[in-house]
Amino acid sequence: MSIGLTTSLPPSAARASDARPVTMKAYLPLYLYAVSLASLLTVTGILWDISWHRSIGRDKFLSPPHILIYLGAIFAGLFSGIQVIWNSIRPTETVKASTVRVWGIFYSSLGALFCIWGAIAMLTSAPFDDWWHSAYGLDVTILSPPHTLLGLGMLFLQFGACVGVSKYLNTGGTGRKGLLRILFIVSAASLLTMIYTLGTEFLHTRGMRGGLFYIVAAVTTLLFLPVFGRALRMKWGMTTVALSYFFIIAFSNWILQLFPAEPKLGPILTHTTHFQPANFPMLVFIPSLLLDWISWSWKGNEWVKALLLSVCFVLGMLIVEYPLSGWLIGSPYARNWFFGADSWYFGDPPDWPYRYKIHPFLVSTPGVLAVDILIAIVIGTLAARLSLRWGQWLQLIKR
Amino acid sequence: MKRTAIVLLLMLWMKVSQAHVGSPDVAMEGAAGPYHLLVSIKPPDVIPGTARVTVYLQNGTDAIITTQPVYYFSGREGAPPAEVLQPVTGSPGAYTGIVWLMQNGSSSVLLHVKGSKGEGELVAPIVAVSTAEKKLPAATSVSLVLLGILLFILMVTLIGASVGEGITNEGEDLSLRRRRSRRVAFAMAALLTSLVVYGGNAWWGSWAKKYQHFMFRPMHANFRVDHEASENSLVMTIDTSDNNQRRASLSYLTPDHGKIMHLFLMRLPGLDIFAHLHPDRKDTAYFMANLPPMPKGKYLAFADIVYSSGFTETIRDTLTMEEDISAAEEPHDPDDAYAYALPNNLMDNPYRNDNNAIVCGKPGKGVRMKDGSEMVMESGSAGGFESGMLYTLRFAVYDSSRQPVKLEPYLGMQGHAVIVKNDGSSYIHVHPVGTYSVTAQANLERRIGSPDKEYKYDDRVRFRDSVDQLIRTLKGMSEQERTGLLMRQMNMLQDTMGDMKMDNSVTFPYTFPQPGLYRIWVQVKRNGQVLTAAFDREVK
Repeated sequence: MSIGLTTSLPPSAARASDARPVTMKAYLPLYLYAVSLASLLTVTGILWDISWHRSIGRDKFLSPPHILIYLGAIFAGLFSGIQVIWNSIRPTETVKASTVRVWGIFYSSLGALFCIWGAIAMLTSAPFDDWWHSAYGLDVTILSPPHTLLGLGMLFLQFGACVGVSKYLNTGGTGRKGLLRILFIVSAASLLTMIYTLGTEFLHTRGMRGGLFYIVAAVTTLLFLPVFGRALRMKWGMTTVALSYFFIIAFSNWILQLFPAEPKLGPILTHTTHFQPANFPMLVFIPSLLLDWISWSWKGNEWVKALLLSVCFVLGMLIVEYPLSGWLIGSPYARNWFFGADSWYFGDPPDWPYRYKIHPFLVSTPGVLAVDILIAIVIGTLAARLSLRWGQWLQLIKR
Repeated sequence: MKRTAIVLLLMLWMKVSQAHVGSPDVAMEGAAGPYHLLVSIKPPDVIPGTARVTVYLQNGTDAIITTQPVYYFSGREGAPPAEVLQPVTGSPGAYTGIVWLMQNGSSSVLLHVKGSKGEGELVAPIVAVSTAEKKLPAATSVSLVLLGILLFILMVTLIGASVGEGITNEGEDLSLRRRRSRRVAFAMAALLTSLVVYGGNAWWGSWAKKYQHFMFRPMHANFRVDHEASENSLVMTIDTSDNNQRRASLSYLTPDHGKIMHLFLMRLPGLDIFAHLHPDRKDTAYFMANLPPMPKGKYLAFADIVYSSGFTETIRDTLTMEEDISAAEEPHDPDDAYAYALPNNLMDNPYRNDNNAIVCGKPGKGVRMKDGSEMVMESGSAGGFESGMLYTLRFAVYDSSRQPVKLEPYLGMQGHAVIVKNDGSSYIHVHPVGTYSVTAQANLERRIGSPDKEYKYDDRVRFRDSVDQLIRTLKGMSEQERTGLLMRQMNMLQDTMGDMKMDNSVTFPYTFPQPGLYRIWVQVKRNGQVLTAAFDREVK
């Protein structure tokens, strides 16, 4: 079993632990690979599950997407749990020096603790959700209390993976920075995808002409991207995470629509034959280029930096997404496998008058939009400032 | 715009209605082409949910049976693909499976049977509504609480570790500053997590409240004897004060067996007086009937109505008669009937001289009815009845010389039965074809035959007027004409009643919902006279 913590010991700790020889060119703990993979598995499972509900309509407790989601939870929980138990059974001085002591008996890395919390929350949500369905009906909604617990569990799992990798990025010395960054980007992009998925109600293509979209996009993005940027310490860190989010959604969409799926719940007002893809992903990576540029070029006050990040992000999104939404909804050139704009829920009538145009109800007037953009910038600034501080904390993770 | 509003009103209203009282299972007997089926459907008590469908093939064992849930609103075109029912191991000819019902409203299970005899279809109407409020089972509750406590403690621990050891260099001890920060973090984490738990609980509460809002709430009615109109005039006003949409939807009532409403009255506490009346509609929610001679007392009232969508509902309430009704006026409907049921152990008969008084039947003993003939219950006497089991209740009528008599159709059927639990908690109006409304079935069959995906409702005033006109026409017909028309309208001869034979017996498929003492009122027609019998049966 390749569970070891001697790998990343800095020279100071190595001196403290003379019981074993320390190899500087060492391996990464297996659980790091496991939780990063679990982050991706769970978010892929969620995307598949949503498409399943939009294309087939009904499922059961052990449907393939659910299996994928719970597999992610078990995978992460098991590997993190085994790591903790292994460390706690025979805690060497090295282990004690490099981990967090929990309740006086367990020794765990901080990241594993987050992952364990996430896995327990996800597994708790399963019987809760099962009962919920029997009490309030077989739901087709994303945001219900048990689903939120599941979502929280997934976020903690994904964030735990980021924390776990951050420890090694911060302490350095492994000589495998590239691999660590890949693991971090996978986990961070999975987390970002999860956040956007939870906010789908506000972050869909048809909402891009309303002010609320920009407020929600600013809060969700600016609360997380600067954290990842700081933790990664890469020139184009935020852009890479945003681009990875884009590809997680895009690949899910491109792959899902290859497989046949038939609606099995009435009323079926539109007959569809294949899995229906989600909305074309937001082009967050475009304003992220600006965010990265500001991050490494601005050396001044952090509040000003947060304001700059917010202004650039909100205006960048407005310039990119506002026209794009109209094109995605209205243009026949968007109705293909790449953009997936012809995706349709079977329970909606095919001749809905606003199928190929945005309902005026969803379009803000210029005045309202301007005010909302200002609100988005203000809230985005607060989120970005918090995120920058949070990122500093992530840079401090040592155990 | 107006039409859209009406459709929306109807859809909203349908979220808060239901049909049977305490007896939700559908039992039906019918023909799918050449196949004779006995069908049992257990609808879900929470929508969206699944209904358990069990089909007993009465003639053959080699068929493939499929089911499809078809809603009135979206029709066959909007239904999901059919799914095959699986044979029940050890029960030849029995097939079972589930059907998903995702929306409230009038729905049906479309059964398709295919085998060596050919193929055919049968439509079983279902009312899809949420009726249950469920509590967390103790075991689930305890495990969720324990896991919740674990998550809470772990959350506080990891937040504390995040500002303490987690950011302390390996091998170093926690500084005093970090120790302080950790203590603050513990407190903050405990506070914030408690707030999240509190918020989550409030959210759960609001969810439960929303569910309750859309749950079935039975309609009620106000009853009064209008002495000013006549001595025995009963006025019934359906209470729609809490919901105007319900009032609008009442315009879409459609006649069942030629009557806009079937009202059953039973006196409490012994259910000894029984009346089956057919009130006239005077206005959308306002009905009138002439009462038969009835002694004073408190009565249970069950009023069955059917909507054009096939949605059926029982309005349930009580009425109190302060004085005996002597029935000065003739019943305004020739199919009205009443009876006094006396306990079978009664020593002194207060209605000795009234031929409407009958002595309840018990196992091994029939009921002498008002024309002198005797009705005998020919099923269930051996081992008694068990709740949850599908039975075919069989009744036969003999004349005074023990010879089988020939019965006549009553309201287009061999007979009607009302089965009510002695505390009134369960009530069903059942027919030889089952517990469903034949009109609902006919309407759903018509809808299933239509190619439209979304149903467009008629103008409600025009619809109501056309129904009133139809009822007037029916009333003006001779009994023979009326029976013939009703049977044709309900596809009796062609479809479900294809093998209807008028002899001396009548059967009713039924599943008793719970253990207890039940009274079964059976009504048949002979020599132009409606005869009523009552049987008491214990269900285990």
